[in-house]
Amino acid sequence: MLFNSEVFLFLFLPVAYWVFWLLRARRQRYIWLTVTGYVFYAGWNWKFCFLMLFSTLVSYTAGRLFLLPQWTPHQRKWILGVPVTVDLLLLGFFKYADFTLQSVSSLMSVAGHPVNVPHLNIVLPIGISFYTFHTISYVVDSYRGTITPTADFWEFASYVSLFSQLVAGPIVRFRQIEGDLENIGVSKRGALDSIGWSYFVIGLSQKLLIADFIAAVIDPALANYGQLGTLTTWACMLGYTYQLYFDFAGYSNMAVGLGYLFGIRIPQNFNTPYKADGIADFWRRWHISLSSCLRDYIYIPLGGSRDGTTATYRNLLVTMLLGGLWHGANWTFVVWGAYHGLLLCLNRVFDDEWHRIWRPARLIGTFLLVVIGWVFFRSKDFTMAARLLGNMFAWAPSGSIVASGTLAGLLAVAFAFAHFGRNTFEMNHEWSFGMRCVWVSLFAVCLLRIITSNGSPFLYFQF
Amino acid sequence: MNRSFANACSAVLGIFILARGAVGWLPAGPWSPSGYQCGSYYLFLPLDRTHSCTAEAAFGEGARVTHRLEFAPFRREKFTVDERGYRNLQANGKPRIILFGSSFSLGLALNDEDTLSAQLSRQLGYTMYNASDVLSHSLTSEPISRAAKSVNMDRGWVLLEILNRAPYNWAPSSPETPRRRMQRQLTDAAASLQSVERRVKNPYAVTRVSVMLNMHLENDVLLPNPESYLFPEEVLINGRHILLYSDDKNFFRKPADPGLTSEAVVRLRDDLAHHGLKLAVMLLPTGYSVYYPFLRDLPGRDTGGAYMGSLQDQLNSAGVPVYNCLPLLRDAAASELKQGRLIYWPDDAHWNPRGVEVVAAALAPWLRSLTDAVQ
Repeated sequence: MLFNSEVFLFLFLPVAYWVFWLLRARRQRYIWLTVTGYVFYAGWNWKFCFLMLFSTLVSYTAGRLFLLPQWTPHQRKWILGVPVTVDLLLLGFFKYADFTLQSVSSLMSVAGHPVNVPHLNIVLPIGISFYTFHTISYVVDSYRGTITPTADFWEFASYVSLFSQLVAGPIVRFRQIEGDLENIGVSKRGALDSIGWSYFVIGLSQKLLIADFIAAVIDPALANYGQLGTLTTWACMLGYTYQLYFDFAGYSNMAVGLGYLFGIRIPQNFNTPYKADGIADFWRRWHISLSSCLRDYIYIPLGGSRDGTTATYRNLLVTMLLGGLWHGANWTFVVWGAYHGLLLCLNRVFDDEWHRIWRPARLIGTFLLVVIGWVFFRSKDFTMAARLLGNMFAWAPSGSIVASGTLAGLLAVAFAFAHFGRNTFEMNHEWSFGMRCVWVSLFAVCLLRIITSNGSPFLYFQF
Repeated sequence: MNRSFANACSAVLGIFILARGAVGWLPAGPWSPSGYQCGSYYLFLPLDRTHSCTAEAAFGEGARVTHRLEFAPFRREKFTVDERGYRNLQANGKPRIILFGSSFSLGLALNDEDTLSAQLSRQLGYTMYNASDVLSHSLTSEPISRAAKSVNMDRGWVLLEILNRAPYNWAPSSPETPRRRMQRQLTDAAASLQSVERRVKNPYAVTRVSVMLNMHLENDVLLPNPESYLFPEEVLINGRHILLYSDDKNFFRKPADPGLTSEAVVRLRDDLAHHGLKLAVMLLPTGYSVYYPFLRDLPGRDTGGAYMGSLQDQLNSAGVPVYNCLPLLRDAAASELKQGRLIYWPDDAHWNPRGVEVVAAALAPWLRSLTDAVQ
């Protein structure tokens, strides 16, 4: 089920909202949130609800065990290790098994020992990367004592299956919404509705009116990337840069808005990342929930910056490689992760020199480095990436793009909002009458667009 | 922050829900689909049983998705569904042949009187029952025997149309176990639910608004048309432009394995024999296959034609009566082209009444010989 679908907006959301606020008791609301989460997920494939339930049960059991006092440190490590391993195995099997087999097969062929590896055609459960991170972070935080595991199964189940953040994040950690979940029985309907709607309408507009329109122009052009020239390749990659941002930030804003409608405050996931003046700054602003997870659960456990310069660079590279791989089972994502790992290392080496550069130049430089990285992210293989990069950095006569005028207009709008606008967490959401009319009108336009189009999936569903 | 913004958004959402719900449950009748195919209407929203729809100025799917109305020879189209949900006019006695096939046999883009079953019924003098169901893509005896049973046809012939576009699932059928029966019943129940869902999701009024809006929005100036690749424009040797369906072209270039197809057909013949039904096969070419020799820029080899020839040989060797319409239709296309006419629509993937007429004229004596033999 997509947030920008009729069935979600016209049926699921109104029913979920009204029943939630009709219920009074905390436990009832947990159960209802869990039920809605599973219904939401079943809208894609009901069979994989059992996978989510299994992951939930394993992590909940681990949390309950951590509440018991009798465990030795060694036993606690087992209680940590088993659920994390189970989650990683699930993720590994569904997301990376085919990729691994095919990579081994290719490697053996290159080595002169071709082997016939079967393609398993495993269906990737939508959102598995997100909810396994939810459950893993819960178990790790319970082990570390950062949180007190909940004894209430429904509270935990509602956290894992919370539909607003279930399939495309943000990766909300239990401790970030624990307070709101605890108080869910006393929260009052309507207290946060206007803020919630504000986030939701802004996010929906970002997705439908900017990201989707950009995609409508650049997707056909990138499908025939062999015919692109230098200018058109840059136009497409700039388009993709903004599409990705407004698509994902739009989704995150909708998730935050939906959270508010149910009395749950979901943390910020994007802090106007294209205003970053360095790569490290970019990663503090882009997909914050993922980058903070990578930092807390991979980079720091690897040693962080505690073990000397070489180890720090190694840790950065490993973290970003895994971060790249998390995005998808494709070597282009691994290279994208490695590219950013390398940039982060260079950022540490030349940090002083970098900050002596004029700030506007740093902003432009960072943005261009990010755009180059998105080439690997967008390309389906290295042939495509090489061709796009070749076009960008060696002059090639331009083929035309259909609706290039529209693209130019959209890029101008996206540029203004992404580089000079405030993000939703910088807004106070206290709109004047005029702005309220603008947002309500945009909401109506979005609804009309939803009714009259087939809907487009969010880019981050595939991860 | 006061609640006025939330109230305004909720009100907008509520208005859309009410409007959408109301439109979704409006009866199909008042939304006369002029300028749009009844057949497409049928696909979006299955007509009620015993229902008829008339489009006064219909045009083809190719013209619709590419927004190339200049290709559209607007035509009147009446589309009637009988009490069993199949496309048939009033039956003239007990049927002796059942037609089962793709949208070509169903008669998409054709008037009721111009469909293959209607033309053949007239020529044969008895009823050919059209049981084509474009939503069914399996090649098993079950839907055919069910249709035969529903019209009290306990013996007779089945004319199976095989289009050279591989729409079928060729998996062998197996006896129905209790588990499979339950699965089928669940599937049937889900299908009936889906028809309700489709009524809500794709009511014709909304589809029309959607088409009109997207035609203006995705006009290759404001936005690219994402579906134009489905019907690329080709030029024939007489300079005539035609929209040919890309899937037809793809299949023509890389056809399926005729061995698998013939094995599945032989299995079907044997299964049907248990129900007292005999099988005859009509190999029907797509527009691309028919017009391939007449394209100005002739690409590659005639692989699609070779596929049909090979399939015909294999079915003949297996003792399945088979009629390959490709040579017939190519000859007809050549002679019609000389007079500037086509036997397939220039704005749609399907054949036009003239194409059907050519095939019906050839099939009628062949079918008569088969059915007379069984009498």
